[in-house]
Amino acid sequence: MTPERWQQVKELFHAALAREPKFRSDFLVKACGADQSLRAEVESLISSHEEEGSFIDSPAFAAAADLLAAEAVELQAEQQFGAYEIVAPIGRGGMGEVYLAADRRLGRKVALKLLPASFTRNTDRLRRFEQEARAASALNHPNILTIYEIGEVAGTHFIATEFIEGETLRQYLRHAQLDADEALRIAVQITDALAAAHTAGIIHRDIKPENIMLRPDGYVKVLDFGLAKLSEAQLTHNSDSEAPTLGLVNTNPGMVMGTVNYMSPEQARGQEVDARTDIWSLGVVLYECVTGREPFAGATPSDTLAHILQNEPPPLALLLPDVSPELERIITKALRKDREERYQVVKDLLLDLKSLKQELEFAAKLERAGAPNLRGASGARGARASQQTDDANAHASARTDELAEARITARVKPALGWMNSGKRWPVLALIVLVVVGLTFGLYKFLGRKQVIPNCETK
Amino acid sequence: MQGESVTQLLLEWSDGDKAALDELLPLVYDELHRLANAYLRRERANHTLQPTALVNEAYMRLVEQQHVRWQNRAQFFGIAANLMRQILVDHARQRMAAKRGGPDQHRLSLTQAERVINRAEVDVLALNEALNKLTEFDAQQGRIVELKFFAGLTIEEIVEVLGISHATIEREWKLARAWLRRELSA
Repeated sequence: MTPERWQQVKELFHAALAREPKFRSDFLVKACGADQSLRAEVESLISSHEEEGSFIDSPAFAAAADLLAAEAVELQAEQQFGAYEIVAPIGRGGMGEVYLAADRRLGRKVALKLLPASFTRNTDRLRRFEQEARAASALNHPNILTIYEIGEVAGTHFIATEFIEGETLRQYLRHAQLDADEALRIAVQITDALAAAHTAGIIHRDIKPENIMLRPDGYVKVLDFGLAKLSEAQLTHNSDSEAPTLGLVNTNPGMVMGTVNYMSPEQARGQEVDARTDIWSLGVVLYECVTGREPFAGATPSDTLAHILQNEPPPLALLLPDVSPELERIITKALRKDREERYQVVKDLLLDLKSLKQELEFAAKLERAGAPNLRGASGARGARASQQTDDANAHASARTDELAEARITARVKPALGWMNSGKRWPVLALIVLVVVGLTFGLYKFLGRKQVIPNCETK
Repeated sequence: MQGESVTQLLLEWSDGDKAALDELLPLVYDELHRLANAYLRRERANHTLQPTALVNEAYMRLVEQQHVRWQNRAQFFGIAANLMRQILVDHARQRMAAKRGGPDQHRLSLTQAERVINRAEVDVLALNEALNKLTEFDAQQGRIVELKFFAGLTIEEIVEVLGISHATIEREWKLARAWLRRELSA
């Protein structure tokens, strides 16, 4: 386009727009004459002008300001941050920078998470987040990360938590394929944490492998309770101010909150969430742990969202031919799109997971002990194992029968065995002797009684 | 001191000293950066950030108004608008790079998740390219878009900054917007 040509376009564009729509076409035909391309250019610009929507009407500047602020805080090693001394950056999450720091007052290591300014602007929401995060930490649950301090240094809000050696479940999944036992061991601990939190009225809202830490000693820790609420607040905050600027909000790393892969259908729809959202996300995590693939992964986030809302994930049995049908049932029930059909409370899910875990452990023990000895020595062990079960009723009925039988065998058989041994004749002789003795005594006693009156009558 | 130097640099630049701009840019950038942070910290519920307030405050703080001509104000706002554009574009590029590889792929906000469904995003990179093209044959329209979209100035403020009539700016904006929109939808 040359400036001269553009000048022509400009004049015709405004002249046409000044006319009523029905006269524009005739006007342009006349004005452009044989210059078809000029007419086409002006017409297409007019139709672009008349298109609905708020294209670039709202300034990008507000979003750019957020961007600046999000980029602003970056701490260096050995730098002081309030009462903490920065040791090293640990990572950068959607929720802000995380550092390993030393708390000189108490001489301990902490994980220091800096919250992006865009999350902390609204003090009401910040306070609610703090309440929830503290409440979760106060549960003192072994699977919930302990918060030491939530505070502010020079306008930057931070959370100081216990520092966990180890890696996130995400990192672990990158280099390890989990078997059902290990997946269950992890899932049971996450579910336990959620059960405690839900009982206290706290929903996590953002369960995903990035928020789960695995300690080398086998402990699993769930991170970031309440944090999702802060970024959800961002959504409301923006939508009640200037909706069109939302178009640019996504360029801000501070507002990036994570993957959509673990979002429940109700979250994807932007509906109110409840505890059942955590159950869904946990189902996704469990599916991924067991199969090594994300159940709703799509090429783009919008494809993923479409899968979450519409499609069922590939059946577990298809990916893992020898998967436990019970595990498949549990995951399917956690991943019901209609939350009314899902597990309603996380405790039910916990019971099912625990039962399955014990069942698998029991089966593994049996296998190790060797099947032929089932009625013998291993029977007693099986019986003891079943007494330790804290929810014995959840076992499949066939398994229960087998255990009951094993228990009877274990307790009654020794007595019978002894009776059947070669020592049984002396016993019988002893019984005969006792019986004979008693009979004799009784006879003597009764006989004497009868004799005396006879003597008196004499 | 800083006010003096920015004022001085603005004057030197408008007198034709190209090197003055190189010194000016980082000063303006830092001030915008600092102000943005301060604003975000101060901002509370029901008090949304006014985009122009930022550029205006940077101007008030950096430039001694009694010593500059009105053209210097226009220059300053032009610089600020251009910097904001640059910041957005750089960030969008980083985001693209992260999307192509890296662990950050598929990350997005809840807000964005909703928008993925509604399809109302503005592609900053595409907009930037289109704006470059537009500026080649109509520099004035390019400036207007930068000031209005990237610096958040109102039409009235742009009238003051560019010294063009309100009607002209509205007409120019209308056509520029239509052209950019067509470019982006192609």
